[in-house]
Amino acid sequence: MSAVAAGDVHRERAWRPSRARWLLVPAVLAGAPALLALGALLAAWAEPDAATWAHLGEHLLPGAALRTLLLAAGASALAMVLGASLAALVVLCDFRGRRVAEALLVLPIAMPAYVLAYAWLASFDVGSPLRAWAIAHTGSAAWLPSLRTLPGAIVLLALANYAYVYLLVRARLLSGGGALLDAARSQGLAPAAAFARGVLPALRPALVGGGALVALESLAEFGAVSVLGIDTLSVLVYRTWYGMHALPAATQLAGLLLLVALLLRMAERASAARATLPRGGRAAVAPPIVLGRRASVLAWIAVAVVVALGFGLPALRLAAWAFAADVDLARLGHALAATAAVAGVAALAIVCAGLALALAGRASRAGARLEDIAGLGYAVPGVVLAVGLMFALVAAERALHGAGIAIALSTSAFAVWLGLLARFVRVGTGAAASGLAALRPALGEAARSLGAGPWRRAWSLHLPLLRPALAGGLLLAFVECAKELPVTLMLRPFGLDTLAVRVYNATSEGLWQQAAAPALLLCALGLWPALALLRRRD
Amino acid sequence: MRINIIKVLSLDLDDMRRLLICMAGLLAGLAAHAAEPLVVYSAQKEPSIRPLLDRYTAETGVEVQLLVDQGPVLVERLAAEGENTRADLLLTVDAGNLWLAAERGLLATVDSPTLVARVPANLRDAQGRWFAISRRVRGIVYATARVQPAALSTYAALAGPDWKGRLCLRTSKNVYNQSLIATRIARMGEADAEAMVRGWAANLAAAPLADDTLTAQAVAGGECDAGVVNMYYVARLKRADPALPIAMFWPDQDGAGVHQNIAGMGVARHAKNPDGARALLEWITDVPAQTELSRLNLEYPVNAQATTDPLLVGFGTFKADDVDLAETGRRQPEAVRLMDRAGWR
Repeated sequence: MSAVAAGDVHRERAWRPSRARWLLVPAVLAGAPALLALGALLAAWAEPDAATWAHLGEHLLPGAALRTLLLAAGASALAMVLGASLAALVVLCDFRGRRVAEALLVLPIAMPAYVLAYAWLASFDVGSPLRAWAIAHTGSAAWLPSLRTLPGAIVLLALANYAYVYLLVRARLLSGGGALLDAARSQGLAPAAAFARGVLPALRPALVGGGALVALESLAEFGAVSVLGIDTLSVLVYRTWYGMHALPAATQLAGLLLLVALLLRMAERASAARATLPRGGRAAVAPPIVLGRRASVLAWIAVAVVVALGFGLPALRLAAWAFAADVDLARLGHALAATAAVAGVAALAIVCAGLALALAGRASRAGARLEDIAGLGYAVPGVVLAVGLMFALVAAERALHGAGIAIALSTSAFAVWLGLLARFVRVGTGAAASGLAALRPALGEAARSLGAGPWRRAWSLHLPLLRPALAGGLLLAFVECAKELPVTLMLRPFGLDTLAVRVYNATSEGLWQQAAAPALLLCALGLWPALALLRRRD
Repeated sequence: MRINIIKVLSLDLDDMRRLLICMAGLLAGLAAHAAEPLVVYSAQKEPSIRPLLDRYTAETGVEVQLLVDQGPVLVERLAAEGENTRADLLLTVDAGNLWLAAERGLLATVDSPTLVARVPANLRDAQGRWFAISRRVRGIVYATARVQPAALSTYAALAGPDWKGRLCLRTSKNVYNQSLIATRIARMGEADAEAMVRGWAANLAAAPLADDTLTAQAVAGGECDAGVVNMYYVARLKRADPALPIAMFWPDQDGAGVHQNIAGMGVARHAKNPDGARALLEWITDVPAQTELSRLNLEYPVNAQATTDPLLVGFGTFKADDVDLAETGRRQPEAVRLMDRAGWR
């Protein structure tokens, strides 16, 4: 029955590009914005601030560092469990409405984490009508769980981000997961054991890659954790800058996050090196496990709970707010168009840059270092990255002005794209790397033997093979850029209001009713690429 | 045969009037493009200031461009841009960041008898580098069902043992709280301020909240009996639901007075259009704009001739602390460190 015999799963030398040195040129260009911003981060060490550090060290830093690590580890672990098990459920098991469940599970990716956090808080936490009702009728609301705790924040960030793991694992399972499961079961293993021994090892790169993404998101997260009152390193960065007027110390603090991100990256590389690659890649025609009636109901309950918590209920909360507010459709339309333009171009740039970096990363050691370092921007709070880039662009502006050229470099769409590229190039390198990992040298050699030159091979063989992975990266990058706030806010030209900016304009004044309509539209905008991700059958 | 266009389009006089107003607006719009636009770096969010600036454009033909971001970000941008900046004005929602900008030499001295006459001395920089455009006070919000106003007196009283488990506060990361404690240090000294903050932290009914609206709602919902918030958040909630069982109390009336902060503006040192900037400042502190600003944002005007929004008038009169507002910026790092030490998260 099995399409692939279990013995076929073995290590195979992965494809590597030739002309290693030549590939460094586009990679350096692609990584330049990130390197520039990170360089500005490191430059802050030139201004030591012992007094601020002493205060931080005595009162805030140990707790914040511990909370940050626990949050990142907890959120990524929970997201990995949720994402992988739900992906396995919808790919490997057959039940009524399976395709609908498969699509629903991707919805939470469209909801910005801080919108999710506030919607939950305003619905169920201190200050909410629910708790007021509980106090009025039971005398206390202490029995209601609060999200404003570390476990609460872990659950929330896992809900907001598990879809990254889900999408990666799902793609991996679709390319041969069913066959692996069949192969393991044919050796007499029960379904659970067959999954653990036959399928899970092949999922490791997707699982670790997705888990790392969630961990990095959690490190850089500011909006959601500050709403929940969890003082992580990101929150401390803001407090040090805004509260203590100590930007250099705040920037140095952000540098600590880079260290954590670097360690994560090393762990990820080590894990990828040990990964086994399922060969053949033939997609199973139908999911191999057919669920009975009761199991189907349980499956649907699991899907419904996750989707309701991560998307449905908060979206309803937003809809209720939007209903109570005056909505200016013309301005919303403008913001929608601005968001699509900003995120669309940025996502394209991110994928191209990601491909350039990932190619160089496979070609040489120097390229691999470059790929790792350029990706670190993902772990830094956007505001720190943005301010570094703003300084660099303003310096360029002044130099150009001295030469008689007056352009607004630091408040331009160009600057926003540059900033988003620096912040999210990791999404592009991740997608490109997973695509490149699936390329097989044998194919290229066959093409060469048939007389195809390097350009021809790249254009008509490798690029089409990479397309699914790159398209996936493009859509993920689009969603990330559409949700992004600090970089867009700081570097945008006059009057360019994206949806995220509109949400911020209202929420920072506590006007959530006015924020609801743009927030909902933002979800809708994220929905389209999220669903497109699913339609793509790789 | 003549066609009566008025009849064909079935326009009546009212419609004609509207048409004329429209055309006038259009002409004003064209004029606006003729004049050099003013650039404002604004920490005040677009919805809170844009309607007023649109009115300025309609009246004067001068277009105003806004660059919105957080106060500290705008100060860094101004500093980095130096003489190359496009900013004509800096607008912030607290005195601390104006002080910081002035301290770093980013604001120009404006010598305007008009502004001096309209803005009280304690609401502007002594050297004329910044001026308040509206005032907000940070008082006590209390649950009318459970607290008699007579049981309230001062900020420090909320630190007493009888308030154990009854107090709600916003996070100390918020600049309004930082300014409150900074001026407290200036008035009462560090030891007194720290004792009060420790007492507050010990009396909390719930971990500090994300914003003033949630704080006021927590008081209304019975989570706690009192909190410390800016009055306009309560005014907004009361405007939406007049029956909400909360009210504002003005503390320290026998002492220094309730803590007061401002939204304010300063002219950028390297403004390309300093005269235009000054004209906008003078316009915005004039009676019509001040009355409109009070209505728009539910804040107190700085110009004594202007009309305060009726909802705020209903909150009653008070004595506000007239401490030098520069203290909010000067002592902010000190206040933050104090709050960290005292355990107000």
